[in-house]
Amino acid sequence: MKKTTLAALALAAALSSLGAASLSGPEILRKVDEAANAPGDQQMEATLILIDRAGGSKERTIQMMQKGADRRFARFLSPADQKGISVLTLPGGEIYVYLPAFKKVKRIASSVKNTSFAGTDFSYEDMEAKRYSDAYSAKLLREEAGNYVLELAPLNPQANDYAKLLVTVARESFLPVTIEYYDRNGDVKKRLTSAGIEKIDGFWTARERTMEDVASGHRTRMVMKNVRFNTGLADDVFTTRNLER
Amino acid sequence: MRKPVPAMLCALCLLSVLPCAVQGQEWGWSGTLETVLGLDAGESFAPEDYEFAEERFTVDLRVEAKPSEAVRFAAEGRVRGDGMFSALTLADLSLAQKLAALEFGLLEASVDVYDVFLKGLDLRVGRQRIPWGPADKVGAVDVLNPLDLSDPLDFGRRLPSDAVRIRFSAEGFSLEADYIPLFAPALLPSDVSQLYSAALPDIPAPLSISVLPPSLILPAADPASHATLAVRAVVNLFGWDLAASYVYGRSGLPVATRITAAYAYPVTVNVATTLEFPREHIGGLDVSGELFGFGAWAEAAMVWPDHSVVTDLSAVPDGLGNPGAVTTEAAEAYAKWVVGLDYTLPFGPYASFQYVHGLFYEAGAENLEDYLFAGLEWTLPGDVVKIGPLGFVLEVRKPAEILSGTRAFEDSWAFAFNPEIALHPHDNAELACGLRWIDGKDGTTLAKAKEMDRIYVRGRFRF
Repeated sequence: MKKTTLAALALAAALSSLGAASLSGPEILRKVDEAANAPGDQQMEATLILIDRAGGSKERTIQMMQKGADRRFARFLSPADQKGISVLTLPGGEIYVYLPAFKKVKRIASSVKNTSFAGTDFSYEDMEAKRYSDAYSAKLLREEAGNYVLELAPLNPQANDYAKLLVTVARESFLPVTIEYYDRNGDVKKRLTSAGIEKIDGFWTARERTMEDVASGHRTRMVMKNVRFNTGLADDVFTTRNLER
Repeated sequence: MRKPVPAMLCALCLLSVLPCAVQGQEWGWSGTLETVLGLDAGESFAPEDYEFAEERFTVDLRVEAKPSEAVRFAAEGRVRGDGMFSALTLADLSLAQKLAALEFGLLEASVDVYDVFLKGLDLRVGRQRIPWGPADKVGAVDVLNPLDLSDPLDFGRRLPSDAVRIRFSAEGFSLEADYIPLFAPALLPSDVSQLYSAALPDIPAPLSISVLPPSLILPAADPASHATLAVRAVVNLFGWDLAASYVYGRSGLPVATRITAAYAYPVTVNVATTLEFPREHIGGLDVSGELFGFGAWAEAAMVWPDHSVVTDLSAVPDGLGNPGAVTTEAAEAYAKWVVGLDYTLPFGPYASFQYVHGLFYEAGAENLEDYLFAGLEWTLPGDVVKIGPLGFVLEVRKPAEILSGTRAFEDSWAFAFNPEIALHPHDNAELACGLRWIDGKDGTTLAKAKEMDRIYVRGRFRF
């Protein structure tokens, strides 16, 4: 009887692992999107630490709020020469920035999306929660150390700066642990690493993300604190009116 | 001397919130220290021609308080010191203001109250800047605040106004009304001839003209004569922001309303000009959005002046001894506009272009010129070195005549070029150097500033 129970348990374990491995690349990518966009809204304070090759560093702190996948509000809290600058991203790719020095809200073109956000190694687009499955196709390369390794290819190569992405996805949380961004020459251009993955308010999140510019050796650590989910952020937080407040 | 009413209004607003503010709600201080040293570079930038042109320091101090989520108070003051002493006589050496002039300014002192009676209805009272329109610095619809032309080549500077602003915002729509109770004129440059010269009537030979200093008539002191009223509506349609505005106010620049010529024996005619700040109606439209990845915007303002120009030559006989004519000409409506594009290149540089018909201090259809503004800014990776803004302005006088062949381009151009490079060794600290190079044909607006070529160094610290 005991042998039968043990065998049944072993078979069940084998079957369950087989079930997980049967997830395809697109299915895993969909789960990545679901995990990233699971909360209805989220807000946090982030410290961005810019580290150059020689080890010198600068810091920025920002307050960030997001509702759904395509509405985001970010306000700089420090340093002094950036304090008060606020950025609003709305559906349809509309981006507005408030510049305290000019007391003016300015509409900026989406051409800024692929450029550096506040001098960091994150681009404006990197700062957004995105749906990878809207822009990439996915192929499962392998599983290793409890993670999935996906290769993402852009659905519209002409409109994408990267030829491919290699994404290591944590099996438990379906959050990307690392993302390597490859340019058209096949070289790694940027590398994103996530750390401190944990559940907060029932949602998986990474406490720290580091983006490295491989060529220059410059990297930016983004450390999140005061992370809160589903606090009922009002729609009027994501308005140009709130940029000026 | 400004009338005390708006200042009292500001003070009452401040006093009404200060007790709450002091009770330990959020306070924030910030400011800027800046020093600039500039050298006049002559016409050819030859070092032997360099002369000190300016040495000044500026301290801006800003304080904000939020007694609650619904109320915000902000005030910003400025102290500016001029290191170039201007003593011309022995007596001047006893005057501190001649040796080291200091200016004090209140740039902002306002209270915001949000969701007044109605969600989305916001009120701002006090001294404030009210910027309208998407254009950078040279917009056509940004007309509420008076111009600051103390440095005519520092485009787009405006003085704050004591005003009441009410704005209702809903999703994709806002409606704003502004009331400025007290008219304030523009701050003119020290050399007013840089802006305009007196309109001279035709005087028959052999008489010669002597231009007398103009007389200035201010608006009557009653509230109705001073008031500026304005409304603006903004709507977001299909990803574009569209706005319409209307302002009933006064020209901030003095306008000649009467030119009187009087015969002065034996062969001179004295021309006396009366300047006023006449009423005008300004209707504006502006739009901003995105075209194929480029930011795009346009502004247009139609100005309906509400005055006439009387030219009185009755005291100057013509060649036959008959008295000269008295003519009255109603000022005609005219339009100014701006179109612009900008783009951020993938590796970081930001480029912008604006075509302007009628610079902000030009008035009257016959006085509007055309300008092309181009700018480039690039913060190099590492956030330490910033190139720009590389500013370039090209003025083309009477382009329609050039296109029709009745005027040569070679006689009609002028430019100003202002490259700058800045070093940010640490956050909040900036050390910059730049130059300003102006050249052009006589008769153009920019050529009036040909003598203002400059090299400068600037240090700035923010806290």
